[in-house]
Amino acid sequence: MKKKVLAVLLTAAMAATLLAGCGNNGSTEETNAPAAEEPAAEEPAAEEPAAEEPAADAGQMSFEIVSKGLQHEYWQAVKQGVESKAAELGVSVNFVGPDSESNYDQQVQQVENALNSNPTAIGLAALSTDTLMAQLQTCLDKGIPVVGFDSGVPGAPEGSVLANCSTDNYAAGAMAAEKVYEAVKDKIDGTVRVGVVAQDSVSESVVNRGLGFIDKFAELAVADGHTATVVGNERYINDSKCEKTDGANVVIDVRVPQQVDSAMSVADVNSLLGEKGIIALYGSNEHSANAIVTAAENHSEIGDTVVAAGFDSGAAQIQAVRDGVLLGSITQAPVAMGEILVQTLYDAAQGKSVSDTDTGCQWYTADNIDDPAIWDNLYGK
Amino acid sequence: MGDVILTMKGIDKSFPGVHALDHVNLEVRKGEVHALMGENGAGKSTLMKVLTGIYSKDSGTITYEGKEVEFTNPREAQDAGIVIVHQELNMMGHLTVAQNIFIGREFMKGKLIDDKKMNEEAKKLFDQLGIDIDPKETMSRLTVGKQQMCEIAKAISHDAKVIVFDEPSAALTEAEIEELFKIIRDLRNKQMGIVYISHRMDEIKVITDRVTVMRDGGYVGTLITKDSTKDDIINMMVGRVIYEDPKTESAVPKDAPVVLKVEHLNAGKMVRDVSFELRKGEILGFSGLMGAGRTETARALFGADPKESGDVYVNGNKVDIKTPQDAVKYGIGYLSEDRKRYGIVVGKTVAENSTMASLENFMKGMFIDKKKEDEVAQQYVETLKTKTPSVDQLVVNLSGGNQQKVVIAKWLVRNCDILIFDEPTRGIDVGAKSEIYQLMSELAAQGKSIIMISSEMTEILRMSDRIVVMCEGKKTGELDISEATQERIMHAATLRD
Amino acid sequence: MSEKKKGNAFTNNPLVKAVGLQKIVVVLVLILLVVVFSVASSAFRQYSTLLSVLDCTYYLALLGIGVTFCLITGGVDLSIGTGMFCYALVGGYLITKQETPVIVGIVVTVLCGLLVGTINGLIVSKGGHAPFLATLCTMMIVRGMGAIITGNSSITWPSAKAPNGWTRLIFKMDVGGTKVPIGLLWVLILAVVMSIFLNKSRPGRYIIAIGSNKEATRLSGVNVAKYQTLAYMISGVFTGLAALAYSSAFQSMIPGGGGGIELNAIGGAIIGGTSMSGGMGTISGTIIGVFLMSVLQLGLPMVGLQANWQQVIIGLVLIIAVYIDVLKNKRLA
Repeated sequence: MKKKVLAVLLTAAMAATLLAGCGNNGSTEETNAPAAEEPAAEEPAAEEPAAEEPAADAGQMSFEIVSKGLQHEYWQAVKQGVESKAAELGVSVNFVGPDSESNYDQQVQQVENALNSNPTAIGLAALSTDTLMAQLQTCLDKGIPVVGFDSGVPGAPEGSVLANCSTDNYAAGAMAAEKVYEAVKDKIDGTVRVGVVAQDSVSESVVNRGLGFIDKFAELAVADGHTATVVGNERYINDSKCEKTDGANVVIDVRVPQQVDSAMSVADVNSLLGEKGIIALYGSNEHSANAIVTAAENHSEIGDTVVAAGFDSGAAQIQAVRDGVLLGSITQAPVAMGEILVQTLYDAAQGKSVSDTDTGCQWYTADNIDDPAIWDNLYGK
Repeated sequence: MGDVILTMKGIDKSFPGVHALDHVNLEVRKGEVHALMGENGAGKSTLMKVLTGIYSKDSGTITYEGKEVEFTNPREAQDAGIVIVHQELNMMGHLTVAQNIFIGREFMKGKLIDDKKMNEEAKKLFDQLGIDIDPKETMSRLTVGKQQMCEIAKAISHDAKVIVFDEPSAALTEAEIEELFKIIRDLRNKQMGIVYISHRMDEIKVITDRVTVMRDGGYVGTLITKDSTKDDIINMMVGRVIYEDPKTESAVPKDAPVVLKVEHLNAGKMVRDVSFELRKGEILGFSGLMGAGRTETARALFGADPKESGDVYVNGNKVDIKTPQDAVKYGIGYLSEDRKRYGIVVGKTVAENSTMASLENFMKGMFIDKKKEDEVAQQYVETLKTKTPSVDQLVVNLSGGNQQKVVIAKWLVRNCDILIFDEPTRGIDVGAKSEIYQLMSELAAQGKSIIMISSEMTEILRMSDRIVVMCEGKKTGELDISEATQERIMHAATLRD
Repeated sequence: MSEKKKGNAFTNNPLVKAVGLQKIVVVLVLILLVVVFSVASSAFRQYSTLLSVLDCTYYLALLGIGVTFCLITGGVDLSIGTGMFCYALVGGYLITKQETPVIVGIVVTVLCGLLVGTINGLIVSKGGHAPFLATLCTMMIVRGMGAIITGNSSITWPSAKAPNGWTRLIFKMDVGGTKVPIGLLWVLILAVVMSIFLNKSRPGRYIIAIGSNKEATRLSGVNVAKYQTLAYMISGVFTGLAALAYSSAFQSMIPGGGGGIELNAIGGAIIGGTSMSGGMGTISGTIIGVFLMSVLQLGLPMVGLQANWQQVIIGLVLIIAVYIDVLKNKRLA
């Protein structure tokens, strides 16, 4: 009896799902009918290089944009830029991203789905280029233009990615290093330690922000007659251009948590603060900067004897910059990035030649945060 | 003995295909210990399950305290004052003694449990029984005997008037049994009616007032214990049934070589100092009542359970069998009593099951040589006359008898010369039974040696060349088939030293 | 009789018997660890480290208290790690994105836990699913739901200084510039209450009985399904409370996160003497166990062990704890 009831319930549930599914399909077809049908009809033509259709109508253009995530407010800001530009140009866009920045498989699936919907062009921020090689080749074969954004698609097959719209993360990290060095250079006395809190050692953008900081900081220190070295996470040690000197008096210590969990990153900050001669901390994205801010609640030396800098512009970070817990933070221009991306996709779809664009970054502090040129680029307001 | 408190009259119960109880009578008086006896499967447990409402009866009446009753579940029976102290104890090992006794009806003080009161009440119960158990002790730290005392205390705390003891002494030591008897006598003096189920003839003589004997689901009779002899009771238990075709003399030549010799085997409580020999071409029957230690002996010999001491010789050479793999290596195959659990993989085919114990002979590089596997399986299907459409048939689709043949094939493929059949015909219908019997005889004639553990007297007398009888982990008798009778076997099977 | 009552003068000492040998050993190990870390790292000796250890302990302790009830029934609740993140995301989403009053966010956070706990309990007790599987499924469901409800966005609970940031002060008060870990008091109060509930109330007694021998408990006329469900409901509510403790201490969380935290809580419970096979466990043991886990988590990096080594060491500690559990059960068998 019990089993029967269960079976009936299950069947009912399935039927309901099916009905709901049908309803959805119906409405989607209605709204997208012209857009969906016509590219299908033109399919043979689509196989020709896109350049043969220079006068493509904006209303028929559909861009698939696959980001590295949707979870951080940052991606929401990119999405905002994308959508406003798309509305301005009158093109349709579909902005997706995996549930977490370690979900490589899901991103591959999303790129597959994007390809299957026969888009005019694709915008892509790859979690890992290696996992997307086959899909990029398909784009090349089908003549679908791909434009990279944010961390882009480093190492993509020749000719598959037409341009990148991204912050030069390495340069941005270097900018943070300059500001932090400026603030602590007089404190370098005996052996000192600079802590770098990184979310991971896989993502190119996160790694470049770290490496840019490390290399620049070491370069500045060495120029002032100090010696420098890098310790901690192997990836950062190996990829850093810094000349590592044994017994150096400037030690750059990179900590990466075992998984993306605030408690673990806060523990990293705690242990960095426990090291002798710690003078500065740098968190290379919102997660890591938040960890520094959270740790500051227990450690009043942050923002006092230990100079801290962040990257990105979450709400907690902005508050911390205003309060002086963080000396300052680097912000990208995510809204601008979204806009530039759509413009570049639009140009590429029309057959114009496109090239790499640096979407820019800025250093904001308690003093300049309300400057509109900066304020408009902060996403955590 | 006082007035009659419980009468079961003409109780009849059938299950599909089995007439489990055939007009059985039982009368229990206040202040009486009434033994319920019978061979395995005689229907004792079924009768008690009908009494306590686990099964419903087809016909007959139960009169309790002068009124006709019919309980629909054990709780109703318990509330009315009829309680069973089970053989398998039902307890929460992590809780204390008092917590166990009062589980489900705790004393409360406001919203919280009053453990102090429970301990006091438990203490009172134990004082009443004259036993010394600390109510605050964790249940699992007690010995089995003490745990049983707690079960009894729990029963009494329900204001029991009739207590059924289901083989209470099976797991107890001598001293614990003494204490148990003291309590039972005490309860008898308090005018309770006690039903005592046991196989142990000596105990029956010591503790009980009357004996009711059952056989094959039927009521045989009731005796006054002190007026009857052990043999009277045994005769009632085995009856005067003429078994078809019992073997009259051993088919094994006197000078047949000994292929297996077991000396002073010890393994836990159920295997105590067991020694025996098995000759080439012999069928050695292992008889005894449930829990006599026969299967345990076989498992220890086979390396399935660890053994404490004892020597095993195969073909005169001393061997060290620690695991089933060792046993198989020495050519010993074990056909478990529980085929589905240990014998076959029902979701696999006849061929796959047949080669399971000797897969290394069927490998072609890294892969199984399916063709060879099928050929060999087919060969055994033919010799054993297994009824299966093909060797690719899933074993689950075969009848019990044919499943048993697949198990036999498995060990024959392995080239085992010594086969242990544990209850070979359990769950197999009559027709298939005789086929299995014939097969065993043929195997013996071919020079295979067989140990056959069986609870069926017919089977033992029909198949065995020699019979080893066990009781409570010890070998209590060894009979050549020419001198074996049911009575002699039963006598040995109920022998306590 | 004699064979079952093994032991020596130490194990038979009444104090040792009352508190439990394992707990005493774990407390000694905990003290040893604190001493070793303090000697090896001057930073560990500071007050701020105590604050950090406590920040890590609150949520683990609350998760641990809840899951102890499931473990005692012989089950387990794997949904608590991702669940904690999910409920904190939902609560934080309401407060920061929907701008509901903070109290609504808090109540919803706890109710989410209760809801999922109830579902777990019903699937296990009425549906007859193995607890491992049932809660593995809900673990996946809450992981997805957290992302769906927040629209895939990470959530940062309001900062302590923000007007609606008082949740950050529930566990850590600021008294004249000094941080006072008031959360320890809340956790200890809850631990005492739940300990009394487990040992002195009927539901608690039946939860232990079910874990010890489910069939015997049923035969004793106890509604087994009801109390089994209750154990998972308790686990759910405490996961909700843990979500509050986590967001109070660490402020931000990402959708899909939290996996693996359940193992730290379950590990803490087992180190504290709760048996994976049920029937045995104490709240005090769990609290001590999770303290050991958080001291390890905080202390290991301070003596120079990187993230991956911490995992290795915590894994080894768990193997030992589970081995002790196996030995205990053998002794009881």
